[in-house]
Amino acid sequence: MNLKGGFLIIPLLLVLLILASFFLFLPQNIDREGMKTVILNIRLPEILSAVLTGVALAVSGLVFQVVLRNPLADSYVVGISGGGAFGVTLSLLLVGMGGAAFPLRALSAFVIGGGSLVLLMKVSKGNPERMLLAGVLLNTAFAALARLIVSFLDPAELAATNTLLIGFIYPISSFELSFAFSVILISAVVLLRAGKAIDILSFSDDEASSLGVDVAKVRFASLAGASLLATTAVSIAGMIGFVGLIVPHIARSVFGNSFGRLFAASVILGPALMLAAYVMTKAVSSIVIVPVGLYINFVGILFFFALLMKKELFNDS
Amino acid sequence: MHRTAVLAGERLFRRLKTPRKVKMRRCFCFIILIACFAVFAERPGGRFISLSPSTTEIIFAIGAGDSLAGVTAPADHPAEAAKKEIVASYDGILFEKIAAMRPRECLTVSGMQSGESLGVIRRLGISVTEYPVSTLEELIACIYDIGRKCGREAEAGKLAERIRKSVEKISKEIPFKKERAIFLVGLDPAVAAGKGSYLNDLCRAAGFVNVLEQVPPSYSVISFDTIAGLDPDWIILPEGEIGKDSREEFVRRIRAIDKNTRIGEINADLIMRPGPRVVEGVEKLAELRRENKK
Repeated sequence: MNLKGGFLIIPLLLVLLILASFFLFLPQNIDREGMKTVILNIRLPEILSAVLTGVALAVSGLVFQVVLRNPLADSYVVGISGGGAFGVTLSLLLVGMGGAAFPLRALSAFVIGGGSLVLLMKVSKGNPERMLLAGVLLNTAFAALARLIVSFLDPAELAATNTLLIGFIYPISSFELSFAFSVILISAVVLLRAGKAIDILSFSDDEASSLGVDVAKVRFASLAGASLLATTAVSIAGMIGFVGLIVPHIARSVFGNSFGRLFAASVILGPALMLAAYVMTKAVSSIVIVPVGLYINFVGILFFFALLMKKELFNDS
Repeated sequence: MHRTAVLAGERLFRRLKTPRKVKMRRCFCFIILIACFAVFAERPGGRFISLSPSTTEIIFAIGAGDSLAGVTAPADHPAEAAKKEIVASYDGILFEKIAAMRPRECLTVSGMQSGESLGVIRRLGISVTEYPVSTLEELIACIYDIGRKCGREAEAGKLAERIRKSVEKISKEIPFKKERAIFLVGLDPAVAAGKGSYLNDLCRAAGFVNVLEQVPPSYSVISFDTIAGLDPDWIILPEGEIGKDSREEFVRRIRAIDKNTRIGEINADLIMRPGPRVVEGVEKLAELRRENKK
């Protein structure tokens, strides 16, 4: 796909997916009033939730990959999402899952996800490879802690938490929506403004320093922004992997390596991937409840197998 | 134009000239009509959605099964419940199906659906009642309230009193010393009922005391070592829920440690699912005690 074609086809794909998300696989024997309720009160908040999650995960994954100079880096791999998920499960144990618990859930995700980042920076001493390795360990530790907490939950919360840990889109409240939107917008704008410095950071540290970039400062600030995006995604939709890994790769194959272009492409492709998975969940949701994270995982695994077979994975970075 | 105005004037004049008797009759008919509307509006009815197997069983037991639009899986009792549309399960709720049905209210018991999911239904403008049922008295209050909502107060009252009297009767018939028991709802892995579980109240009536009744959460995975360490008089297994091989292996291991621990089996739904079959559950537990009384 050439650049011009990509600029045209990808937004068109997003529009089609939004329309499909709204109108496909509606319940049978539904009257006009019921359809209005389903579209406005269920599908709309779910679609907005999927779009916000897609933007947050894709942009966060892009920043992690560029800053750590590793095509396999994203918030999920380095343990920030795992830290966020641990924070979410901890808040569930303390205050349950009611709507009023959302601020605490988001705060726990931010605090523990942010704490993980600080720990990673300290342990790795700024070395991207070390940071990635430490992140994998951290992720495993947080996954174990989250499982430990889950075993103390009551059955109703347990089932909901298990689904959330896989990644689940549900009709979030307007408060949750506006909260997530504000955080994602602010983080995305800050990251976009720091785009030039992040772009330079994709070279070696020495080269970036010689071009006048304060490497440590920009690295920490950009990773903090990316972590904030990732933990927001975790607090609204749970642990959804692969979006942050796949989207930057697709974007790079179409739009090249410029951070600005990749950012724009991620903002469109992230939601597109989430919405495609969302439509698939709607196709089977009349029989069983399938978390959206499962579809993303299937797609992600197939995508990476295809990439590995083509041997393009490491050439693209 | 002039002709139309004249006709309208004549009609108005005739209406003003309507005899008082006719006016009174019309007023009477109007009041009756309004009263009929009021009666129909206040009359309990409409369609409900049951978000827990317990509320499904209660609604069918009081003869209000027709008022159910949708139920929660597993809808295995009574048989008619299986014919209703499934709108939820232990894994979550199909919000779109519920919105499409536009029910009058959703009913559930605590511990079945998460607060988050029930919040979503409330945001759809559908009221939700979540009954706490961690004791027998709470179950009885739940039955009364469901009866009132479904317009079946008499049937609900009869069911509630039957449960209360039967459990009291069984409790009086079991004057033996209470024996310590562990109630398992699964074996691979072993899941035991703990604090806040509904059966704690029931097993006392049948002459047992749950060893884990003060241990949260209401259901938790428990190791074989813990079971052996607690040294219960009884281990109650869920009948029909575990494979023959698993059961035999479990019994063999228990026997190797303690030959005195007795093992009983009971349909887990009878004692774990708060509902009309509670009497049957307590009776089955009491039978175990009667057969092995000390």
